[in-house]
Amino acid sequence: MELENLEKSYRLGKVTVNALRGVTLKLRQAEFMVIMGPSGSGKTTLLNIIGTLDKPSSGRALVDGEDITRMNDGQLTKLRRHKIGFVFQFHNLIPVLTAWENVELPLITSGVKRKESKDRAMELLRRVGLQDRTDHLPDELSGGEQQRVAIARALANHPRIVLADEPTGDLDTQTGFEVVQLMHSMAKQEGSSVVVVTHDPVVAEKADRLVEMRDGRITEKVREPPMGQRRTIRAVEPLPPEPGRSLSQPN
Amino acid sequence: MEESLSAKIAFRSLPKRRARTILTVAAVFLGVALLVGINMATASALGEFNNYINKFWGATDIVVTYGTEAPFYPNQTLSKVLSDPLVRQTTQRLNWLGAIGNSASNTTFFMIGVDPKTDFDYATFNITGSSRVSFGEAVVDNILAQKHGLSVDSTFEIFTLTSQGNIRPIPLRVAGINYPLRNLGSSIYMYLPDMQSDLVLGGQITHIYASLYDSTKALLVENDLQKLLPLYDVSAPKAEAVQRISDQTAGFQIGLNVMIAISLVVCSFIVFNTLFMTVMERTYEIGIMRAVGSSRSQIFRIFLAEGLLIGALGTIAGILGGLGLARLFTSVFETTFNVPSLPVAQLTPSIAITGLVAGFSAVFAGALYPAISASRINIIQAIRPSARNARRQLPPSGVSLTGIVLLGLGASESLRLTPFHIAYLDVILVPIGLILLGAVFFGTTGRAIMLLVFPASRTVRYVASRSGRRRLLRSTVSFGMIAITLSFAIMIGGIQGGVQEALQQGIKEALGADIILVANQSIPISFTSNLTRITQVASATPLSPSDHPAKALGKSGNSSIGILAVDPSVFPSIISYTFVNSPTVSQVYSRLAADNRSLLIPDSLASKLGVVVGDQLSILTRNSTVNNTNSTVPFTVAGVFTGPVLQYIQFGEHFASDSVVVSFTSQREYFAGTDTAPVFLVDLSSQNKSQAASVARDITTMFPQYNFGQNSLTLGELLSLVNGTINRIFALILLILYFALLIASLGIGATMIMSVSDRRREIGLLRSQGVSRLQITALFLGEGTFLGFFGFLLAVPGGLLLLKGATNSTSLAGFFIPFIIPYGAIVQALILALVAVLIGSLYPAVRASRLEITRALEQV
Repeated sequence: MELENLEKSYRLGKVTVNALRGVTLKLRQAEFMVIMGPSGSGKTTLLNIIGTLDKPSSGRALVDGEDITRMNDGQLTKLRRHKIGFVFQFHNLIPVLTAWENVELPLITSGVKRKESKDRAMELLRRVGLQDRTDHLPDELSGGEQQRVAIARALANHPRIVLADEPTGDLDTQTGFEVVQLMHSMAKQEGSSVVVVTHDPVVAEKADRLVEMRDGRITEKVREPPMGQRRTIRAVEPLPPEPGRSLSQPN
Repeated sequence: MEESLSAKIAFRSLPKRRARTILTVAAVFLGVALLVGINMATASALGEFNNYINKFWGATDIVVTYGTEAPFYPNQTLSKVLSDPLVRQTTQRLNWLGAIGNSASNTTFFMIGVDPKTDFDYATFNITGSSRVSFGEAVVDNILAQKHGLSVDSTFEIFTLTSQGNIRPIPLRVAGINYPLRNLGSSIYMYLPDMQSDLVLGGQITHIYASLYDSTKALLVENDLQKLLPLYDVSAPKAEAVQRISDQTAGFQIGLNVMIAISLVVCSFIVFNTLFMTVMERTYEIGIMRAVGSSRSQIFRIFLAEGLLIGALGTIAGILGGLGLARLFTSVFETTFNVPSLPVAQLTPSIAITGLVAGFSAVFAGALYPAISASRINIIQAIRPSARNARRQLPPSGVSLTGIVLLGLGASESLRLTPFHIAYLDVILVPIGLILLGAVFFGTTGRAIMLLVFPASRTVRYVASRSGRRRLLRSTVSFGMIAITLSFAIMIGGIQGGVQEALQQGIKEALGADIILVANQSIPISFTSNLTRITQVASATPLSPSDHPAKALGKSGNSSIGILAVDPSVFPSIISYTFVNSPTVSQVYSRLAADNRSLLIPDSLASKLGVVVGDQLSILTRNSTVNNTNSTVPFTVAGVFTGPVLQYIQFGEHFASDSVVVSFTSQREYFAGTDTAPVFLVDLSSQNKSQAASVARDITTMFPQYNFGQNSLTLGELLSLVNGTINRIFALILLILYFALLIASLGIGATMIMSVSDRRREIGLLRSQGVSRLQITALFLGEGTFLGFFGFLLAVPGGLLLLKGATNSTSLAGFFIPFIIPYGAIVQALILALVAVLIGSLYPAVRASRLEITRALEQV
């Protein structure tokens, strides 16, 4: 994926907010990229545009060489269906569907045959360690289990990109670590690129590439260490959530 | 102060949920408008009828006659009538038959002796010239005057038979011309003492007319006077006419009222649903208010105020809207009942108050539980979503048990298996029981049904099939509204079919000839042979209602009755009465033929008089028109027959249900019969049945002097006339039911909008997973369709049970309606259900599909 000089502004009451101010970024295959930055820095807006949930005011966003800013709603829907997976902070799952039904949903949407979709969903749930919780509804699962179901669902269609917005934001440290570990390893196995927006340094530690944003711009690119090598990163102080500004911080 | 705060919060909250508020207000508006509109139109129709009756009868509330119309001396009678404290004034009349012209061609009419000084009824007549008649003068009805070229001051001569049986010519001068409201045969009005002297009936009269201080007490006075004067016929013509119309339209009125009640119940459901969802959405706000010191009662009042605000807007708008609907219903009434032009309906204070009370009651009933549940919300759980427990749900077993008990009781009542009978109990219990059981069934197996019946895309079916049961309460309210309205649609359809079947059967039994010939005069019964000579005719028989009524003196009561003469040898081959507790048909008619003192009697009259087959029934008869002699003759009841249409067929002054059947020989001997008949029933041979209309035309042409074409009709025409009337009446009831269904559609719309609102995040998630806009639209349409279909599934058994209950009661139509499964109405109900839910779901579904994904995902 390539982002070229993306800009996004919108009206908030009488104020015009410039959420993105010329972001240029390239995402490589199977890369685990972490975006950090204070609240209001434009992380989630960027993630929404990459995920085709939102459109930029200007600039280009290419997925496999195709400019998604020029696509219509139907084309974007198909793109999301086949190439993009999402993991949100919480309330990730459709409340009326069980764990395996949630994982199966994108497969059904893509027209995968019933048996094949069921097998794939069960396989993914086994890999995230929830083979015994497949028939539970979301409100019968813990927060960590819900996020693991969300990761399994995000990977169900072998997407090119998995986008995660504060995936550990609602979890305790240990669970959050396990979830990130799982997401990292499974994405690598599936060959999917991952973009994670977070305040959590534990997540940042897993990054192949760490990007910091401030005031709608990428302000710093952290060194890209060889795979698997641990490094020290600069902690970014988490700020209190700001209402109405992000996917993960609803009002 | 507190009230104003509650009102302020309520006033500011409602616009925030604009769509659902508008739909809920619209539902209340329609419900109240329907009630007001129907009431105004009904009041207009009944008012016009009363007006007509009042014009026709003037100030006369009570009429006293001697049963056989023989003159009597007023001495005792008049004093007894005047002794009643409610009687304001009385007047006396003498009615007699007279003729004008010569013996070859004459016109008969009523000679009515009046005293213009005291006759309060005569005083209201529309007379040109002078209404004061003195010796040798008369006021003549316009029709008669025109026919004989009479005008004021013309002189003419009439003939009559005196009480001694002598023909007497009377020369008269026209004092005035009367323009009566309606012609019931022409009359001339003469000075009473003058007429008494001409007829050798000095001091005698035939009628006493009385007016009352309070006309509404006419039936009471009628009863009292009847007890005082057992041998006389005391009638209250105005009150009886009103009573009769009210009896005949009772079933129709019940139908209208039940439909209006359903609309208001559906309104209550909608208000309940809207407010309950609002309470759920505003749990956090309620927690904050409670945390800053609001009491439970204040929270209760805030939500009640929201409900009442909706009620006030809907009700007031509904009363105004009712003015418009009244015009619509009035014009529908005009078409339905063939009334030329009903006056524009008036909004009376009582109708407005009924609308206000009904509107606010429906809203209050719907708002009460949500307001109570809002006031009971736990503060901690309200302000910390994570501390909220799953909502306490009623145990399915308890709901099932309640549903089974209610449905069981309602069904037993419908099937008349209960040892008691409470009117309308089944109408209440069956729908409630079914909806409760339906809710349990929906919660457990709704998904399976959905998978079976909903053939949309896999993704849509996948999510939709799993959604309904999660929001069981609102789903139940939605399919409940559909189930209630459609149950009644199916019931009405069944009643319509049953009434048609019963009336057709009844008509075939009571008047089942292929052609019913009605002549403009009585014809000798030997005319029958002219008819049987026609090749297509298999048989023909005369039917002769007697001109002079008789009086039956039964064991348990007396009654003025009509006499219907038939030919016992042919009549049963054309008309097949259903006999009850009687010998065989052939035995019954053999007895009638053999015994001049035997008769057949309708079951309603038999029970009124307290007689059964084999009993003696004394009848006060007039033996001859010539000498006016009366006698009481004991008759034997040879058979008791029944039929649903007897009460609607009128022969002369009496309905078939108040007439006994005798042979022509009996009529000749005891009821001044002359072996003539104005009606002939004709049966065609089987291969010519389809040619009834052309044969009827041929007969009319062959015997032009009898003018058969004027009133005769074929069985097919009669049946289609009846069917047409029934269809028009039921179309009106169904029209109101469609309003109820429209209200239910609004309710489903409000529910689906709420569903979209609180499932925004779910919609966002689905869209992020690659579900298209079209699929989101289909998802909500699918869920709505499923609710409609489920409501329909409940409505089928519900409607059939209600129909069974209705057919077990005679209160609707005055007779038992056969139970016929209304397949047409069931199919219609399915279509209506789908149309209603599609109307209700379309906008919410489109709205859901158009949600911005990022904004949808912002919802917690």
